[in-house]
Formats: sequence, structure tokens, C-alpha cells
Amino acid sequence: MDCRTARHLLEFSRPCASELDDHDQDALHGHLAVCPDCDSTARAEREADQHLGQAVRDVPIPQGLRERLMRRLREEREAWYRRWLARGVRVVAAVAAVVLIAWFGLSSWRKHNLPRLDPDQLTKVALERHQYAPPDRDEAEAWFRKNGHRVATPDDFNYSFLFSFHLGEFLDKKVPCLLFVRTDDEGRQSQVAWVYILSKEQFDLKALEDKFESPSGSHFKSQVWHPQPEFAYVIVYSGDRLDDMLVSKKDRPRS
Amino acid sequence: MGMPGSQRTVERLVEEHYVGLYRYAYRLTGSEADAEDLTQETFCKAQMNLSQLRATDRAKNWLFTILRNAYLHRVRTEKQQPRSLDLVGDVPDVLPEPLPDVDPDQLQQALAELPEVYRTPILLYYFEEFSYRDIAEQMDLPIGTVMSRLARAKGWLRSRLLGPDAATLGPRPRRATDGL
Repeated sequence: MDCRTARHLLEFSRPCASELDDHDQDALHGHLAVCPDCDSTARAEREADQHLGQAVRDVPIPQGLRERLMRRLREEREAWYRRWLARGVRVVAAVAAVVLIAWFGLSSWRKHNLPRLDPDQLTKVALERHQYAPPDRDEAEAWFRKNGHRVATPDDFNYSFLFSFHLGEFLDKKVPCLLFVRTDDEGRQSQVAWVYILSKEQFDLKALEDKFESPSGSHFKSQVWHPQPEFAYVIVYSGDRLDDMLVSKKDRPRS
Repeated sequence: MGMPGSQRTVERLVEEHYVGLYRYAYRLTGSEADAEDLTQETFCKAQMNLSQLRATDRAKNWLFTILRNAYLHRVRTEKQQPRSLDLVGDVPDVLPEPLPDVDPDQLQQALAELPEVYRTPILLYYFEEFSYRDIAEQMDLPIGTVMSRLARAKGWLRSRLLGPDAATLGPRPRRATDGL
């Protein structure tokens, strides 16, 4: 190594924080060991650095500095949390205020924006909700079976008059019931008939005659049919005669 | 700014670095009150930005960078323009034997007269023994520039503090940093 390189490397050779790798450091030390000029320069540099470094580092630390720093940091930390809490409260309050204002606004808007009623629309909507499709005999029997009642609906009735079916109260029991409504040519109701279907599982039917008609009636009349051992039919109807609700034997859908 | 960092971590940083930071701050400002204020500001900023410290072994570098930035901010706020180093003399070739004692007031005066861009590297070099790479990183400068400034700052301090003879001895020596 020549002196020029050694002087160059001296810039990077510091006692406490050498910037040289091991190879260059060794080479530099080797050169300094045999070159009095460079060695002298290196020593002078080092001594000057140490001398000035010591002077620069010689700064007295004020009494209680550490404690004051810790206290200030604690205060800053506490202040931050106080600000954070205050900000959180403000945010919550702001959100609550916005929600409240929105709620009042919406309520007020709704109050002043109630739907206006249009008679045509009202009748249309009302009729749409009450559309009626007359049931048929099979549908009625299937519904009774589904609700736990074995039934045989009477063959004699004209089922085009069947209006509805349900389970009706009869002698404290729920029994299948058919409602027939007959209308005249102008669509006005002219006769109604309820048919209660009593089964031998629910009643003792043995004493019943095949057909019985009540001798009198005020507004309604009544008949009891017992065409087969399993079922009897109690018929309550308006009008003088039931025949208009019935079908002739040749038109019966079932035998 | 996020939430404060862990109290234990911050306290450990204070324990380990407050002396070095205070000395650095004192040498930068030349005033005990300013140095303490700057040190406090540094730790407060560190506490609120602890999440930015990726590796704990870089804590010292990080804290010194914060302190320097805080100092520069104050200097700019106070509209103190950095001076050029035209006044800095050449590095003396031969130093007196034995080296004279350094007067503390003279040292601080000499440091105060150094523009900050020279003062910072010389302070970091002398009493915190940062590597050239660390100094370059803190100052956001190329290493060559740092070494050049260090050489000139050293020459300035030696010429001012190590006796009048030292500054005038012989011609300007050939320095490794010449031309950087």
C-alpha cells in the first residue's frame, strides 16, 4: 500500500466506528507500521479527533432532566387521551343530533305527505283484494280430508252453486260444512243452503231416517238426509223448496 | 398522527437516548433552555409517531433525525438563513504538541458560527460516533458530500480551537475528500 492510499483510507478508519472492511483495515495497519510519516499523521488525526470529540461531548446534563422529560411525556399522553375522549364525545353527539334531526324530518315529511285518496283507485285495490273464484266439490273434499275429516259430499246438490266450505260448529263438534248460494239471472242472491256433514265417527247415526224434513220453518227450513250408514247431511236453507239447488238424478256427476 | 406509542417503549427510549440527544441539542442551539426544549419536543414527537419506528436498533438514528428536523424547523421559523462556509479555513497540516485545552465557550462559539449543514455532521461524528452512512441518511445527503463537509468542519474547529499556529501551519494538505 502506498502513502496516498493510506491517507485516503485514514479518512474511513475511526477507532469506534471504522468504515473499512477487515482487509483494508489490516492493510492500513500494515502500512502504518512501516511508514513513520503516515503513522505520525494518523496519530495526530486521532489525537485531534479525540481531543475535540471529548470537548464536544463535554456537555453537563441539567439536574432532573430525565424526570422533566418523563413528566412532559406523561402530560402529553394524558392530554392526547383527553382530546381523544372529547373528540369521541363530540362525534357521538353530532351523530345523535343528525339522527334526531333526520328522524324528526322524516316524521314531519311523512305527516305532510300522507297518500291522497282516489275513489277509483280505492275501489280497484279493494276489489283486487277480494277476488273470488268459486270452489269445486273435489277441492272441498280434499280440504276436509287434509283437516282430518273423512267425508262424502252429497251427490244431489248442484255444485255450480257451491260458494264456500269450512268447519262449522254443530252440537259442540267441528263438522264439515258446505255453503251453497244460488243467484238469479241478475246476479242477486236468491237462495242459500248450508250442508253440515255428520259422520258416524262423530255421531251415532243409527236412529236417523233416510230423509226427514222439518214440519215448520220461519225464515229457514231444514232437512236431514241419511242416504248411507257412514254419513248424514243436515241441510239448512232459505226459500220454500230446495229443489232449485239440486240436480236431477240423470245429471248427477257421481253415482 | 396516531395514538401514543407504548409507555414502556417510550420510557426505554428516554432512558437510553436522552443524554445523547440533549448534548446534540445543546451543541446545535448553544442554549440549555433551547436544548431541553428541543429534547422534549423530540421525545413528544417520537411518542406520537412510534409506529414509524420499524426497527428498534435504528431508534438512535431515528431520534437524532427527529431532533435535527425540529431544530431546522425552528431555525427556518426564526428566519435564520444558513451561512456559507466561505469563512472556513483550510485544514491545518500540523497540530501543536501538546494539544491545547479547549475552552467550552470558544467551542460553542465556533460551533455556532458553523452553518448547520456543517455543524450537524461534525456533532454526529464527534460525540455520537455515527457512521458516515448514518449521518448521510439523517441529512439525506450522499456519503461523499457528508465526508467533504466533515473535513471542512473539522478544519474550521481545529483552526479555531487548537491554537493559531495549527491553522496556519504549512500549505493546505491533500485530503481524501478533495474534489468530492
